[in-house]
Amino acid sequence: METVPFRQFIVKLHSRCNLSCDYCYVYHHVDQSWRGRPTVMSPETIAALARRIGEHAHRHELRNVDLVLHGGEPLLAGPAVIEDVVTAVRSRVPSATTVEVTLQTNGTLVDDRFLAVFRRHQVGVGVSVDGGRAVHDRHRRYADGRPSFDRMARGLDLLREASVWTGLLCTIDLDNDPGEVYADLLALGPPQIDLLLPLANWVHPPAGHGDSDATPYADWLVAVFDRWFGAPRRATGIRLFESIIALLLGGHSETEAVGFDAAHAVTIETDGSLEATDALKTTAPGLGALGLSVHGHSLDEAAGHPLACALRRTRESLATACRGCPIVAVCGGGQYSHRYGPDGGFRHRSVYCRDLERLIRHIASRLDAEVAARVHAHA
Amino acid sequence: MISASATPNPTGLLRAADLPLDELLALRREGDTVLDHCLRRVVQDATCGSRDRAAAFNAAPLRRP
Repeated sequence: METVPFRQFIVKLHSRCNLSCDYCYVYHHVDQSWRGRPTVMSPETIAALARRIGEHAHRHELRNVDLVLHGGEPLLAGPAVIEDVVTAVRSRVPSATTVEVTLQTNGTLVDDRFLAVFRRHQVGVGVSVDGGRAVHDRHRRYADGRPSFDRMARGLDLLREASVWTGLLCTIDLDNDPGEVYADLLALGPPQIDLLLPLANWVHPPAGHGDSDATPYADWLVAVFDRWFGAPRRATGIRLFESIIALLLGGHSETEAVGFDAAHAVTIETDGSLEATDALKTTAPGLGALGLSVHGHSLDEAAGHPLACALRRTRESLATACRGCPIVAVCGGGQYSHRYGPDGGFRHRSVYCRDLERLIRHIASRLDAEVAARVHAHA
Repeated sequence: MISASATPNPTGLLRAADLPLDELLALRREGDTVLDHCLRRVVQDATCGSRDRAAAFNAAPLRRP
């Protein structure tokens, strides 16, 4: 199989977190590999990963690459480490290559030192927020039980003022009212939102999936969609919904949650080891590990690894039932990790298949009606 | 990237929107509804080419709009 170069590099700057959210896929799921990793990425590993990304960009003449700073909580690494990794990668890629840098944080540690680095290096910062104070603090707490909303909100204010804030990631909890969550998120003034299905699969099914005909996640998402889509003006972007609409109209997805647009991404852990995708940490221990490291292997070797190839989003890689499904061009089989089954493989429907189908059909129906109205008005 | 003659995804889910892309995109307005925004985005993809923009996994941060 032809090697497809990576374009996104997810860099784990720090392997620990100052929060202990009870649903976290890193610390509270089946893969506990974080326990054996260095807490912070060393200067040697930063230099090695920058060299490897530079080689990869030169070899494949990449015009754009994405550097995604992640954790754990990446701000625990400190502003100097963030500045070092961004500077090192940009210094190694060809002069014609653009490096877009984003960072995902829980927002609690943001201060002026970080803001200076974010502004200086044009780092776009996403914050994880689950809703209003009560909703957010249900899961997103410190290890000693203290809530995190107030510190997060203070960090958000700083990021907003510095014009480096790119949006919010919100993990869906069926116990929360969708309309209330959406209103509370909008009150924060986010430029964009994404609503995340909890990381689950056929071995570790999501909450609320007891009834085989139920579509509780679709029901939740549809309630938000109707408020968002029906507004007289677009209040914010919602990555999942806009990707589905774009796919229905013949365009592209901006998330691997739907569609066949692949990210071509690799994860670099704090010790330099390479992993296929973080989401596999919710399937089985070590399943995402490539057994390679920036200290001894090129990124071409990683891109040619069977696991990296298996993650390509193609119709042929899906379960037989999916390949003949009328909406597969939109759902794309859903997120890869959501297909993991008891046989240890991924040729299964998404554990969210029914939810995705209901959501997509609902969005298509609303879109169809809106377009029909415009066609009528246009005639 | 999609060509100017591309049609919406063949899902059978859209009827009114099952128009040639040119006609579909002609329906966009200067307004700022969700549909206006999405149509503009598809136009931009079609005319400028779209880079690989799919987020790597669901905890990947949102890009700058």
